[in-house]
Amino acid sequence: MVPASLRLSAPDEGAHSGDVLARRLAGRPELAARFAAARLLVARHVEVADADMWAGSVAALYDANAGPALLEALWSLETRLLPGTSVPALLALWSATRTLCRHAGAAVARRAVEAVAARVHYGEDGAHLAAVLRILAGLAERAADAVAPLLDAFDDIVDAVDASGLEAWIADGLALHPADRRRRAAYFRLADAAARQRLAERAGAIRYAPHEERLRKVTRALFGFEPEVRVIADRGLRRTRLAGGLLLMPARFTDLPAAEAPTTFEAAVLHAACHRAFTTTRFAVGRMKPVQLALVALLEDARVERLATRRYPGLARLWGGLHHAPASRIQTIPSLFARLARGLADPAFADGDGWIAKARRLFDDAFAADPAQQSFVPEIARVIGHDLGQLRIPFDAKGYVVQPLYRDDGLGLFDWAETDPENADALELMVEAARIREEEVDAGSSDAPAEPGERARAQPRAEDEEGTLIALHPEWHHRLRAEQPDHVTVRLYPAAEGATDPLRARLAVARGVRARIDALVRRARLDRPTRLRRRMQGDDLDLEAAQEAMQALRLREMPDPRIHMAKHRQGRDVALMLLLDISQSTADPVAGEGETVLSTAALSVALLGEALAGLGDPFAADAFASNGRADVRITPLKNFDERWEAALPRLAGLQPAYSTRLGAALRHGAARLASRAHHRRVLVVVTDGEPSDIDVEESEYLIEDAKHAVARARGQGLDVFCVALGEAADKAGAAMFGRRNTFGVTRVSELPQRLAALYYQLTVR
Amino acid sequence: MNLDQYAIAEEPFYAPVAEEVVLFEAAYAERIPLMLKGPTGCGKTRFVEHMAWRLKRPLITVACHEDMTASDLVGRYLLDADGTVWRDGPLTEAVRHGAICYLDEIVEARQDTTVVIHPLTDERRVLPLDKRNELVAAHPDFFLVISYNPGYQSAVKDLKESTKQRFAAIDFTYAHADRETAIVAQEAGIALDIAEKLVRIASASRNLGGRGLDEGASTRTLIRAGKLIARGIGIAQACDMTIVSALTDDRDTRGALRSVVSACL
Repeated sequence: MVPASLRLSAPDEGAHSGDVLARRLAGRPELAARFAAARLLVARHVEVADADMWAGSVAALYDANAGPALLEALWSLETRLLPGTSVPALLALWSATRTLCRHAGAAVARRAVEAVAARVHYGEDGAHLAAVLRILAGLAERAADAVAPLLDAFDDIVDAVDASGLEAWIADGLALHPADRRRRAAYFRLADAAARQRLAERAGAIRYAPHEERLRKVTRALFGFEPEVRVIADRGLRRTRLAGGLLLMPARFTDLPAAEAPTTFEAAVLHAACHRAFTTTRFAVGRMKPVQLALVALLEDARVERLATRRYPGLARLWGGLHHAPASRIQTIPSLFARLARGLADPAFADGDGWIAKARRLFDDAFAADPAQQSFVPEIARVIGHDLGQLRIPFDAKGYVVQPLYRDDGLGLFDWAETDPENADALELMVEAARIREEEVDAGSSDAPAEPGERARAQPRAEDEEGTLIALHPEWHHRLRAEQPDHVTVRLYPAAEGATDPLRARLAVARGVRARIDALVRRARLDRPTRLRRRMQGDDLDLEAAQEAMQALRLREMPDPRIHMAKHRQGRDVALMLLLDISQSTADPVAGEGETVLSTAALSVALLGEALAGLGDPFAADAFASNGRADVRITPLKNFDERWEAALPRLAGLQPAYSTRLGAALRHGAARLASRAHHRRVLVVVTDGEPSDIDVEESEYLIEDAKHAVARARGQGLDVFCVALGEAADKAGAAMFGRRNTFGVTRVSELPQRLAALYYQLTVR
Repeated sequence: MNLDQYAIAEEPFYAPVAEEVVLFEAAYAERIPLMLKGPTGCGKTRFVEHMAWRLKRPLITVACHEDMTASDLVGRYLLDADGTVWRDGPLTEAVRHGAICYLDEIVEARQDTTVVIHPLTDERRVLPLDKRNELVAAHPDFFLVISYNPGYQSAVKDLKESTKQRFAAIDFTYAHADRETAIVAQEAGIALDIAEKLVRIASASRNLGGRGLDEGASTRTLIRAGKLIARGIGIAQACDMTIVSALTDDRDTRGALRSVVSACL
């Protein structure tokens, strides 16, 4: 900005900026007149000093090359805001617009102001809008080209998120696409699945996430399985939808009051669980019309809920409380269906309609006869659907929204493969059912690669790419009986991040193991008190010692005065450095599991990491491999100060390759660990056999070098252990690490349990 | 020494789940030490009391804890005005006079403590009192029972292999729903339909074992809830007190349990 003193029309001492600007506008009568009007209006609402500041802001925007159209847009926005707004909000509006104008141009700034203005209610406090404009200005400063695409989708975006959500969503976009303008534009235009997904995640007040853990547990407790819910940002999805084993949850329910959110989400998730438990086969579509499909879904909803309430009567209250349709005489489909749904859920609901009464009677009779018989549902749907046709009540398949809110939209209950090809209406629904599923698979979770660029990132790096040189280490030559200084080069290869879903799924499956590890953790954390006996002072009498002292007194001997005992708790102070062998041999399959040695080891590390996070022990992990002495490849999995979750994508992306130069890896790990100040520092190497490398022919050489590295590390005060995987590996390990410090895990599939248990064995007692 | 104080006069209520009464009697006839395994509150202690009553033997129960020493079990010298007096510990009393000795939650005791029972649990059936320089031969009626909750199992707290192998084990689980309902109704003095709801809540909560809860609500918990209900407390409130709040402090798990309670009522 140009300093005030340098401006041609520098205001005189004491003169009002408003007057100055008015003088400067003298040559543009139209603008001057508009300014005068706006000034008058502002003066009516704010103090003189504030009005002056306002005029200063206007002048600053004018100086930033804002055209009359932009000024006009702001002034008209002001007209609507002024009765309710505050001076700071007003000034913020102007300064944000100026930033926008300077970075993105007057035209874009004007569009932004107009977009914001379109959402203003008369007399509203403009603070929220000022915040939105300020965020847009922030975006303009960082990526001016992104503002225009964002304005294209402005309404959808601002509908979904509040100001802080918007800010976070913008930050996500800039982080995802720092350089690629084309893809950044797609993100901000919401033309990108990832953008919509992120927007859903950032969506404000009513989100599913805070309820997820609780509902997972409720479902497990009541039904014995856990729901798989995926939040989908798609404006076409107005109700939940069943998709195979998944429950698709709309990111935003337009008609859900915040106070009802906990019960509604609970009702929705438990309703879906009922389908999973009781809807045994999907219904064949055949020649059913949309109205019959809707009725089948409605009746099936009622059937599964009734089945569930037989065991859990309280659920009827939960679901019943969400039916709001009052009894009436209206004969439109939405009203009839909502009342029928209510009538089926609540036997006490009285509605005079004959069609509803018939449907209820048919349903009750069939349910009483055999509630598990799913086939009565389409039969009844056919009958009462036919009746609707007779009554000439039209059904609008596109506009139909299932009521009440918590129920799924029913499309997941049908087997669309069996649709009669001439059934055009049903086919349209089928397209809708398929649409979101495909997108869902596409956008999936934020971890899954959604776009070509991301996919490229998830793949292992090019083979010829050289890692950053991080250290030179000596190597021991057993024949020369000497260290060869700076003999090996350690290079850093950042982890290729993989999709974490499979790993997380396996973590979830390994819950039994986790529970056991968890129990270990809790015990380890409690650091059992040790009793110190025969003390000169202490909290308690040491009864045995006291006895002996008394006996000594009676025998007229000199008693031992140490008759107290004390309890002492020793705090834990352990750090762990884990080295994971990812050489080519870890690609070997593990017997009968469909897993490899490496994937099992990765799971073990994840489990251990989780457990150590609970224990609070600092923990780092590196993966290692080698490709000759000039290229010892270290891939950091987790640093000491990172959260363990950070390691998950890296663990998932590990690829076995190259050889095992154990000594170099040990020296590297020892160097990292030795710098930590802890009472105990534990270095654990997980490997599947003898060291080897392409430039070493003599196997003795690397074994001796590893031995030497182990001795060195022990000399630095580290505890070094080896976890040897596979049949004969423990012998090889013992040769380098010593028998006591080698733990053979013969069946690799047992590693997850063993690794954590072993750590406690090492460190707890 | 009179063991009358340890005799059980009235029949403790116990509803057998499977063959455990027959198995216990057989083991008792052969004096094979028994280990009762099962989750907390499923009736292990009650079962031992019931069997002691059935077999007309006094029952000496020792609740094991971390600080328990061998002297706490076998006895120690105490002082009185005349000099030192040996006082038998609970285990020694049972060994001398022929009682059933029940070591509850044996894993809680330190492993070096539990070693004192080794000579008692093989054919020797003797208890060496090294401080007194005495070898107490077990009374023919002496019988040793320990209990142990495998849910606690960990590398840190587990029975030594040498201890484990001296015992025959009976596995306990929570009774089948109908049976458990009857037990809860009988013990708490509540109507069957209320007991049924409580059992349903418990079985749902047991689904969360290892996934938020260590163990689900036990039969004992249900009886406690039932007793509160019999006193006029509302069912939801009683469950909140004895199950939801007692079992967990985790917000989500509590929320889930509350939903479970309300779904079952």
